[in-house]
Amino acid sequence: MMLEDLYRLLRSGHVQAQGVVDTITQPIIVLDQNLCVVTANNAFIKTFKADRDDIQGRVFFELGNGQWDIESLRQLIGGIIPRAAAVIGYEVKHDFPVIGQRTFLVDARRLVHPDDNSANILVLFEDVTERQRHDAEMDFIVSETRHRMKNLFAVVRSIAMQTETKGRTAADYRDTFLGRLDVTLRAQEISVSNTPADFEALLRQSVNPLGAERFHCTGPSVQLSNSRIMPVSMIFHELATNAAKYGALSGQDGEVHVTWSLEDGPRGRVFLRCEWREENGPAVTMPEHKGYGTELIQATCAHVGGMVELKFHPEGLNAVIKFPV
Amino acid sequence: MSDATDNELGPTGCVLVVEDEFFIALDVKTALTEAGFRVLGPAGSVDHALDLLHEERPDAAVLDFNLGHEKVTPVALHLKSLGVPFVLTSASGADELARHEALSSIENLGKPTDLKRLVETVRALQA
Repeated sequence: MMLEDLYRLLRSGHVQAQGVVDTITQPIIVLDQNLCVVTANNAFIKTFKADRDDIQGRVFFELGNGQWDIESLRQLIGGIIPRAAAVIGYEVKHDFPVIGQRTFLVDARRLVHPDDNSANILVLFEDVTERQRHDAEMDFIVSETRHRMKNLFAVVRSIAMQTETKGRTAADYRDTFLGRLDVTLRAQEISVSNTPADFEALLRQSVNPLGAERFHCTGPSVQLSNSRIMPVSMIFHELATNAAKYGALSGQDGEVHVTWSLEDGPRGRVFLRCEWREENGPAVTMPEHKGYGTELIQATCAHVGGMVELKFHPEGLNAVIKFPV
Repeated sequence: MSDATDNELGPTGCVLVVEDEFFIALDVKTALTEAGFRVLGPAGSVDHALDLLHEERPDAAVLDFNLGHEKVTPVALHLKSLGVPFVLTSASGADELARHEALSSIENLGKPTDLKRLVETVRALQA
């Protein structure tokens, strides 16, 4: 073989090997027995924003102001040459001078050589910063979801418990329970959007299927904070349900008038004062036993630091509700 | 008899309930009332709970951790300063609760809460 052919063969082999090393996107360096850098691939230069001339021949642990000078990593890599061992997936979390806070998994092993007498070490770096951040995010989402599911389950359970069974048919119980469940889920949907809710819109939504055209409301625009959405929805759902069952909306000509205004309350808080007035319905008698619907309305108002006054006038129910907005 | 300083085991004390989900709050209130306690609240927010504590010092308290977009910690701190024992009923994990010093070493009965166990725990707190 001609010397020229031999040269060409060796050269193309070398170029190909170098090409492979430089194509790999994972940072790679080769160290000699003194732990000085023999070779660094393009990915290493790029990832650590290093200058090739600055690192060639330098001791690995002195690179970049000693950013790799971590005692345990030094011991691990130092132990590879005498024991022909390997370090795999050693986690290095470090605030690097140029590239900032990163986490790398470092692999270090003796470079394979046909005579098996290589003193060189191949070191590979895998940047797992993003993956770990993503994992942490997923863990957070999973635990948050678990928390919400438990909470929602507890809510559903308590609605079932707090919906009275005494003197009710199973069908009546089921309808009441499902009505409350629907309001709860709808209110949660609105709450999740994390924007303040318009009082009138909530009011209309609670009454809507039960006779929108006989429902008249007048009052200023009031935005309710997130924590008020659910209780307010429930109060008006109960009032509307009762009106449809026993009150003004149970007859042909009955109407419901709702008016509201804002007023100053104790401790500098603003209260919403709302009057619910039923008219032209069937004659109203005071409920024989304190109906659960009214108890729930009272408890809900109290829960948001408000109060309610229910008056069963013969011409229709009159309810005055006050709560801090 | 509702003397707060009375050391008899009779379940006659006053219990503050802080829980933002009002159906759950009603459930807790019902269970405690049926067991003979008087319930302060339930309060659905930190402000409301602090208002109630302003008016009356309870003998014990039952606290949810997440109250909508706020945490119950200011109420817990206030209860600690008053020397009122309390228990948590939160769906949050132990890791999250442990991050708040005011809640360390406080028992969490979890959610959904076993109301029988809650009543027993509150009784034990008072004893």
